[in-house]
Amino acid sequence: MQVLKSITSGDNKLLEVMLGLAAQVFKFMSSEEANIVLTDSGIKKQELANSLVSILKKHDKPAIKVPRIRRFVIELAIWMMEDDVENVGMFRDLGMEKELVKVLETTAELENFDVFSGTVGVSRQSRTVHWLAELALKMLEDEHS
Amino acid sequence: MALSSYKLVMHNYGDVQDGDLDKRNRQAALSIFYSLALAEALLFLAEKAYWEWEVSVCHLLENVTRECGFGVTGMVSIKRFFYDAYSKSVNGSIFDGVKMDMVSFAMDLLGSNCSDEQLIGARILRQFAVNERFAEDTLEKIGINLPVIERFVLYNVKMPNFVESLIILRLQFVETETKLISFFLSRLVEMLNWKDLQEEEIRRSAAEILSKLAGKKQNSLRVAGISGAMESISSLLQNTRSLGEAPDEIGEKKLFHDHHLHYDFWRFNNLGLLILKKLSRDHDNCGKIGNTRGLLPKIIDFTHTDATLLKDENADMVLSRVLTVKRSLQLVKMLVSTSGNTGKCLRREISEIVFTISNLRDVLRHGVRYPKLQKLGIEILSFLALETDGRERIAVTGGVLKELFSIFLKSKIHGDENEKRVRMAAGEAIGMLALESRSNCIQILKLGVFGRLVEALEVPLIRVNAARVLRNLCIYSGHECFLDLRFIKTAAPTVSMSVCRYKYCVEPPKD
Repeated sequence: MQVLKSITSGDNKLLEVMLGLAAQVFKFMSSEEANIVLTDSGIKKQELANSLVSILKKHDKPAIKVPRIRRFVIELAIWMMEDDVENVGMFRDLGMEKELVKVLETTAELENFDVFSGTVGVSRQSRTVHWLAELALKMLEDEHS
Repeated sequence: MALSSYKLVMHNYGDVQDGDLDKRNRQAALSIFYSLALAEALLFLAEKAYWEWEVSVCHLLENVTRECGFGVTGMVSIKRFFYDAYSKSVNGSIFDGVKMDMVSFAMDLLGSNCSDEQLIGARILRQFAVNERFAEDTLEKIGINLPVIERFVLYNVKMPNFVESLIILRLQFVETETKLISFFLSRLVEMLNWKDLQEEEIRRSAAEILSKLAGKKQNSLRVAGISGAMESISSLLQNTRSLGEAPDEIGEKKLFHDHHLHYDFWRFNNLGLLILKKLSRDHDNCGKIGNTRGLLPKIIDFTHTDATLLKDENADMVLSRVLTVKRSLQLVKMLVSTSGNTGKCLRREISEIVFTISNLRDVLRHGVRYPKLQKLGIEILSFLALETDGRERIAVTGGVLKELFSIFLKSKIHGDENEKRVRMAAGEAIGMLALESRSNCIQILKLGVFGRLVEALEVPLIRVNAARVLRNLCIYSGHECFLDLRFIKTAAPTVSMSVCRYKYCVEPPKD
């Protein structure tokens, strides 16, 4: 039941806003606090990272219903990599680089807005998805060398 | 006739002289001549008798009147038609009479200069046009004879449903005759300006017809294309405010007492709003409404409510007032939801009117019994919040944020569908207000609802919007609110759980 429900678009919206909130919430926490919260909820970092990569895999192009989902995933991934260097290797193993390259090839202006009036975006965000994806990619590559 | 019978009986046509070859055949010729004359006279008499019989005994005229669906007054016109036809066939050729038909007859009458004749003509045409059996043929005949139609509309617009049915029929049958339709519409629009007491009925019918016609997209574009149309429609809305006497005040609202003036202002207000609402479905028209001088403030004035109005129970007056409020809110919503530059201008102009936001707040505050009104009000706020200026104006209008939160986080819920929608709309509006505005975020934090927002992440109905609001608060509040925001940490398990739950969509759990 749960699985079926998650696939509906309504839950995609929930996922989008929760990802957005998550990317912000963790900024208010120290590394240790975050670790404690995750362990308490029975979530492994590996699982979280895996979710992020699979979300990117599924959203291989911008979606009009959840235009910001890829932005939020990348924001959260960047936070995780900044938070703990070990996470970089984890993302690399999960094939994050390949997904990010795909994102870079498919970014759209659609993804840079929080609100729309008709098909016109209102108040463009200063950090574009392209910029974020490049940043994340650079972080992955830097640790490589 | 008598002469010819006499001569035939006498058989004496004068002496015939022998050898007078020329006159030999006179007898036979005269016999034939007289019998022909007799036959004609008999035929004439028989015809006369037949018609007399038809008319007086068989009630021919009454039958026709009934079949055509004419009323008592119709008898006059039918009589007139028959006598005209009769005299035409007697005076001219018989074919002139046979070719005559009621519709062209009526059109001729309508075209005459005598007003009595015009009225008869108009009546006949009206009867035919509303009669299902004859309508199609009649309208086909009227065609695009504009002068006839003009008089026709003028005479008949008073009759309930008349022009409406006529026009609708026309629209169905001959869509291509745009000239005619535009003509009708411009005539109706012109009538909206007739403010005389005697012409109240005409004006109201015209407004009613227009409100129905404007529902069709093509027509609404046509109406808006008529020069001066918006001003005419605007004249339906009563001007409630006098000019202020000093620059630092605003004119009082004039109170109208319906029974005092014998003029049904609320009805006209409602009709005007209804027409505008239908026109506003097209974005170009929204721009036109915005550009019409003095129209936006009038519309906003209709959104005014107070506790007594919204808490009063089922009086007719109240219902019609609430309808006015509802229509004006619907119209404002259409206007502010316009996209592009037009929308931007409209949103700015509407939020610059000093009563807009406080009127909306009153709808939220007192409208518990009217969830639909509340929802409209909230949606308008969300759209106004698209513009940075509007966003801040809303937050500094006392009580708007508080009302929105009390609706959004309501703990006592009945669980009916309307209430759910209102709550979701409130969440969206708050999310918009918190977007990119530090001062608004600080205002929200001051309300002390942060803890309840975090708890709301567990409530399925409102968790999406709660998450939106929280994210915006985290981003835009600024560093000095860090202490207020510490509590956000308690949301971490919830959010990370919902993110992790996702992977099962792509890869089902292995166990």
